[in-house]
Amino acid sequence: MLSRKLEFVSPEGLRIDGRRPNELRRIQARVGVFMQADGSAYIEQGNTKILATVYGPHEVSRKNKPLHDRAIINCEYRVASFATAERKKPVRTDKRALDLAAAVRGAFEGAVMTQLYPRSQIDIFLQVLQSDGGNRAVCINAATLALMDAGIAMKDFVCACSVGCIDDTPLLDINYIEDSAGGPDLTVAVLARSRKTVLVEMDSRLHIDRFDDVLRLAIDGCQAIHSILDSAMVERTKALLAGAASGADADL
Amino acid sequence: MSTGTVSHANGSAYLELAGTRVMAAVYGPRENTRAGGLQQFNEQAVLQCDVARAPFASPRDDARIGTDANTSAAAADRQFATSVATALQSSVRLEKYAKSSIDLFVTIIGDDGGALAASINCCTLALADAGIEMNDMVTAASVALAANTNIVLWDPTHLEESRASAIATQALRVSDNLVTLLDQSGESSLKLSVKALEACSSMSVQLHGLMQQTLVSSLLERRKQQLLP
Amino acid sequence: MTLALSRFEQEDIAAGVAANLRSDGRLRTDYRPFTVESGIVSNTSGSARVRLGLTDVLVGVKAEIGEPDQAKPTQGRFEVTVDFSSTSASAAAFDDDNTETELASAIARTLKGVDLSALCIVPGEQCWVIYIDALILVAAGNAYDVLSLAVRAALANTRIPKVEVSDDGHGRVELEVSDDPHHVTELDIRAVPVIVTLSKIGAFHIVDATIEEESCAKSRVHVAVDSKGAFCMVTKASAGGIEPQLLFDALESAKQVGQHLLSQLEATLKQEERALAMFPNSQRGFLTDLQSAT
Repeated sequence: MLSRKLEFVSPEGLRIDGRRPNELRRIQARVGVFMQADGSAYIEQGNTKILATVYGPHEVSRKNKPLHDRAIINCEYRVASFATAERKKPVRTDKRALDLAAAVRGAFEGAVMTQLYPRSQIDIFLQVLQSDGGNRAVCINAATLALMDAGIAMKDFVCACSVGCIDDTPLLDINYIEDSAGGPDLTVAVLARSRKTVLVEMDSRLHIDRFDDVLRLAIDGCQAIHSILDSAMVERTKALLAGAASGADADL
Repeated sequence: MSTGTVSHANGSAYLELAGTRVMAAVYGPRENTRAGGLQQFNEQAVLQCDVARAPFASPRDDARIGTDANTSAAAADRQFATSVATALQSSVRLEKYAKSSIDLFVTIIGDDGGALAASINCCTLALADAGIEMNDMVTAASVALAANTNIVLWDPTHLEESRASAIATQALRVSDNLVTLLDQSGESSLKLSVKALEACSSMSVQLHGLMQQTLVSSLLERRKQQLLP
Repeated sequence: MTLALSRFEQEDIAAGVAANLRSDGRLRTDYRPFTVESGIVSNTSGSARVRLGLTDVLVGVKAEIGEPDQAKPTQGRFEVTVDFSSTSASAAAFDDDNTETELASAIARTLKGVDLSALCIVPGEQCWVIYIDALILVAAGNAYDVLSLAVRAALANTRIPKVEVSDDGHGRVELEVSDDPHHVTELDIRAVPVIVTLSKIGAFHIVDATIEEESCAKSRVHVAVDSKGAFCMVTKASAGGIEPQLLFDALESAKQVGQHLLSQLEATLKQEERALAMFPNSQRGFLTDLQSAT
């Protein structure tokens, strides 16, 4: 009820947190957070903070069956109990978490060259430290970086972005308050160069006439995110090169 | 102290220390049927312990009503069970019983202080009664510590426990003088802790003798019964 | 949390411990340096991340209004949970509830002596509940110690909003929680201890064991030491036995190491505060450089 009265876009065209409708939140990314993981990355997108770690490719764990022609991608998603504004009691099997993990896995099955690693398994572990909307998209972005850090062959960057639509205005990269307004929430993941989508998911309802605009905005957002992820990756590679050149043992 | 109190168990014992009354039953060595037990091969036996507390066992039960308190009580019981298993693990010759499990079931009928120590002692008796090979009998004792007066109370009652600044429980393998379990909660200084542990050790030595006597006399009793018919 | 080590590796480690020169060059009672970053999760009441070696623990503290413990109606209370994050190395191997609850109950036990009467709002009815949620991001040895350091740092960082209690005249009370970020109280954490874990290898005990050393330790003792040098909890978790005399020596060194750790933690937190006052916009937390931080 309260959210209906809230004005999500002011007459000046500014959103609650001062952004314009087609503006992303501030994104800061770091590749290589943990030394003992094969690959790891951390992304802060506004107040959403997510850690991704990748292990593999390694021997298939006991609960999975190996596939003879490609690798299995295993994805786990957890939210810290202190991540949300109200503390959440820790639960072991959260259906929404499983759902999100399945979506992320699906996106990467289309991007990772799994046929290069037959009979093996690649683990993607996602840990939300702070949750403020767009978790799905941020998870995918963090996982992309972590997979690259692990040196796993991929066709391309997978970049994801979520778009909401309130009062007929498409809003890029919605935060928690905008998300809880009850409007549609479209999450799109694309392969950056070919602009092929690997994930499209939407909650709630949206008029078909508006869908095109919303989707286009999401894909534009993905392109913008790509350049940010790319520069984080370049920075990491440069640091590794510098480390290798100076003779210090880089953590590879 | 008596053994052979539960007829269908492999071994059992009952221990009474004033208001603290504990019963232990040992089942095993038997096939490990717990989850995951059958899938993997174990060169050693697994020692497992379950603790049940009679609802009337201790006066603090009235504070336990309500769901939250119940779950924390369940967690405390699990911790209690792990402690009992830890204390005994190193003295039971697990390597003699490959692929099997030895299950200890402890029932606390009354708790008037020192339930952990009593349970460990009772389990030791039950294990001996079951004829399971052990390096030695583990005996445990507890003390209450009063920080302001530097006094160590031997074998405290529930009332003494609740007023003490700290409680310590120690399990000792008497023959080779090894501490197999140590647990102290509450605040105390280094000196007092050391004093407490020394007190526990000397109690353990006394208990060791007593428990040996109990086992011998129960064996004699049993032989007499077998000879009679 | 153990590795499978060959007999030769085990013998090598044991020989190093016996010679008082461990494989990384430390003495038996030497502690590795640790790093602390506090206040890095902005939507918590307090948070801290502590790294020691590769072990990496993040603790978030949230204060919420709840009901007090019936046995202590005039005190607030703590609730502790510990979670091995899925990012933790081979999480599947450690992912059993037992280790998590053991760690959580150990921490809860160390906090028993803390006076929480300042957290009481309406006696018997309302109080602040301090939820301490720990995430073990990387478990690579000495988890108990690192966890307790992180908990203490996070509690030191915790700010609790002030509450106005007013009677509405009909016997009901109304609570007004201040939303001014400066109108807050800090927790009194002087009585919060740190855990020092001592591992017995051969005929000696060592502090701050690495995961390799942990794997060949015969028994381990966790000792919680507060700033006065008093013990708040002593517990022996593993199966092996330990000689009484060695145990007394271990308690002695736990006391020294514990007090040293506490003062070191204090100094590190002060230093962080000063650095933050000078460079308020410096990058912190997980965005900092891996190399420069370690």
